[in-house]
Amino acid sequence: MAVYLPLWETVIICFTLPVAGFFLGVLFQSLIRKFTARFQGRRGPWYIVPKSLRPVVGSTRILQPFWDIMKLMYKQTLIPSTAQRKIFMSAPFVAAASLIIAIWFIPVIGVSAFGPFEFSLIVTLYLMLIVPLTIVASGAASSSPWGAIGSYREVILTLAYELPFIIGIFSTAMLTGILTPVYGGLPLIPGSLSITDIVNFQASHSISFFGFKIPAFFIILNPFAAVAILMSLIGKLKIKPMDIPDAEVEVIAGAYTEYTGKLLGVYEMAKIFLLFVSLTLFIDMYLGGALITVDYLGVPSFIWSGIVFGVEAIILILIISVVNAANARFRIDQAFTWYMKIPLALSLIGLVWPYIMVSLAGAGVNIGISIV
Amino acid sequence: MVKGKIKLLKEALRSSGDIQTLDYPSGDPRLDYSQPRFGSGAKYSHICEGLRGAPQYSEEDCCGCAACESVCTANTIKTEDVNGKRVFTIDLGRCVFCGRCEEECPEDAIKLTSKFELAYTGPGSQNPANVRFERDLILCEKCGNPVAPVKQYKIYSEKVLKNLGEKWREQSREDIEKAGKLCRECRRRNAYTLNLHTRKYY
Amino acid sequence: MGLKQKARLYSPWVFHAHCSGCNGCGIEIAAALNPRYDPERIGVTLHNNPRHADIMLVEGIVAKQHVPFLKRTYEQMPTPKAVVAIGSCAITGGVFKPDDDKGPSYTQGGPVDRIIPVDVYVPGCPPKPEAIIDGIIKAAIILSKRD
Ligand code: SF4
Ligand code: SF4
Ligand code: SF4
Repeated sequence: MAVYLPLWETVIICFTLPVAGFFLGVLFQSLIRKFTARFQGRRGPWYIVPKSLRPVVGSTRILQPFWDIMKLMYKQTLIPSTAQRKIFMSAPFVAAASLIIAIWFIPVIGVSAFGPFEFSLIVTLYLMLIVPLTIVASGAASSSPWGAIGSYREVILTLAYELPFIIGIFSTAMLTGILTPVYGGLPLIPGSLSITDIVNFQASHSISFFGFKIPAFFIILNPFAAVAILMSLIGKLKIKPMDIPDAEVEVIAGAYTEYTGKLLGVYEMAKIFLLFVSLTLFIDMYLGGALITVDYLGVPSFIWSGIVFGVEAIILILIISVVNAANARFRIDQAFTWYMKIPLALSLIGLVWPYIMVSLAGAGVNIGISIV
Repeated sequence: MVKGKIKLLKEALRSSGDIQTLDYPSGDPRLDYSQPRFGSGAKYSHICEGLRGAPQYSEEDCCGCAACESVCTANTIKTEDVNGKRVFTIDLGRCVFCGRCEEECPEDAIKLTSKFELAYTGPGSQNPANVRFERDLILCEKCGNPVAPVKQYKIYSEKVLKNLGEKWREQSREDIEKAGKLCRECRRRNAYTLNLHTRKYY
Repeated sequence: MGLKQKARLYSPWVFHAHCSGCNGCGIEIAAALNPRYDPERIGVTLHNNPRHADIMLVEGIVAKQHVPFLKRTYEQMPTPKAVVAIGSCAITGGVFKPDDDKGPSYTQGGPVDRIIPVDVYVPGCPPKPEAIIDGIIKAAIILSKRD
């Protein structure tokens, strides 16, 4: 049965977590820009501006995406006279709002408002799917040919990455149910669609991995699904080989072409929320949610959790940045075929992998991994 | 494909330790970048040898010959003879930094500097490097048309006289002084009326 | 410095308008935006869309046929905006306008500041990439002081 926090704590978390998520997302985005720049042999946004320049351009650019958004908020907003006004204006707000609600359902270092809800995983998936829908709607409503092409590409890309994403996510969620009875001696949890349950499962179990005792990270128990999800997230976040819908030199800015000022600022905010939600979801699903329950060295466990969360996020950002820097953009048909080939195959393997593991363990074959 | 991707990945990791960016807006422009500073990147000075920047005019040295005007490729330097003055205007907005003026100037009054941060703002502060200066002209005694700038006349008559032999110097000084008072047209007219060969005055 | 001014100074997004120049300046602008000079250090990023841009970099003599498009592009930028005229062509007509007395070349629509208001002029044919970055910083400072 889902156990929620007291009402006032829930309310506080509902307000603080999106704000914290926004600034963490800004930091992640800034790190992506910095790492990508480094991999391209550039410097990227200056984190420490040299002394001689400080009076002119300020002292640090760690929060560069935040300044971009603030700048857009202080700009004039133009709305094309031929646009479908209502859809055009509401789409960015819908995208940002749905992601803020998604943050409520995703535990960040174990803290969440509605994470224990039985179907929070499904709710999160739906809320994350609203973003591409709003982008499609706004591109179509902007009455710009670039917007139309951007929408069209967005639809195809969404169709392509959403299939491996959903299969991968559900095959991972199944792990909580299937593995427990076989390895015996553990409290029996049914396969859960609540993200908090998934996080708690990983935190409360440990596995022996070729003799080493480590927490039961699902990335070890189901690596195929994890890789498929990471590949899908690259499409979701429009990282380099998959930034087809808003390819700058091809379709100007895709669905965002006609957006200016505050509306574009809200979209940029939504992008940052999306980055935060995606990374947190990945950490929750596969890296144990960065949840540490023991006070090592007398330091409170939530500080340890925060450190672990940061380290895991930076590792993910590094992977994303390398992909971003080392790849050229796909054509839309290439992207579709690629998603239908590699990530889909991986996620399907991930779907049957728990059964294979269970039957191997049942047959007494030592595969090096077992829950202790 | 996998092989190519691994190669790209290696390249990305290699370039992360090999930053190519120069620290232009900051840093001392005159710094010597011949020694590698960050990793192995940035071996370059943004004021390098032979950089052609904004032309610098020295009003003291200029004799007003307008040789620079006639060679200037983009009409950056313009001259106009008004009221007994030769007015030079130099609009940096037209300059292509070709260096022809420096090459042709007989007095080395114009030199290309290594100044390159030339961006200027607004019509109010219209081109701080926009120079305007005047040279006095000798006016023709007969018709009042300009003959030559005073300084140029002085410098060149000295030069000519110095190169002449002892024997001719005094006589030539007289001729040159006479010629310097008349414009070309008047000189020519004079020569025909006096039945003299014009070349005598040159 | 308020939040507004700071935000505008910290993230100038540039847009490159190529208005019938010889492309010498275009190449230098591209060079100014490449890893060698990396203006992303100070928040400058290139956008292909006037609607997203704060600073327009104009290059070239703006041929007569090009005049309405330059005007329209300028009007599509949301305020506050700044314009940087790059190269002697954009400032005065440069080598394509040999003499004031003889008038401009028959294709020339006039220097940029006759068509749209220009904030910063970067002389050179073409200017060094460093000079262009200097011009962008000056334009960003002007931009941050706009209402
Ligand atoms: S002295 Fe040099 S700068 Fe002066 S007018 Fe002659 S060529 Fe030009
Ligand atoms: S550098 Fe060339 S264009 Fe500039 S003033 Fe000298 S001759 Fe004229
Ligand atoms: S200023 Fe010079 S380099 Fe630039 S477009 Fe004009 S002619 Fe070409």
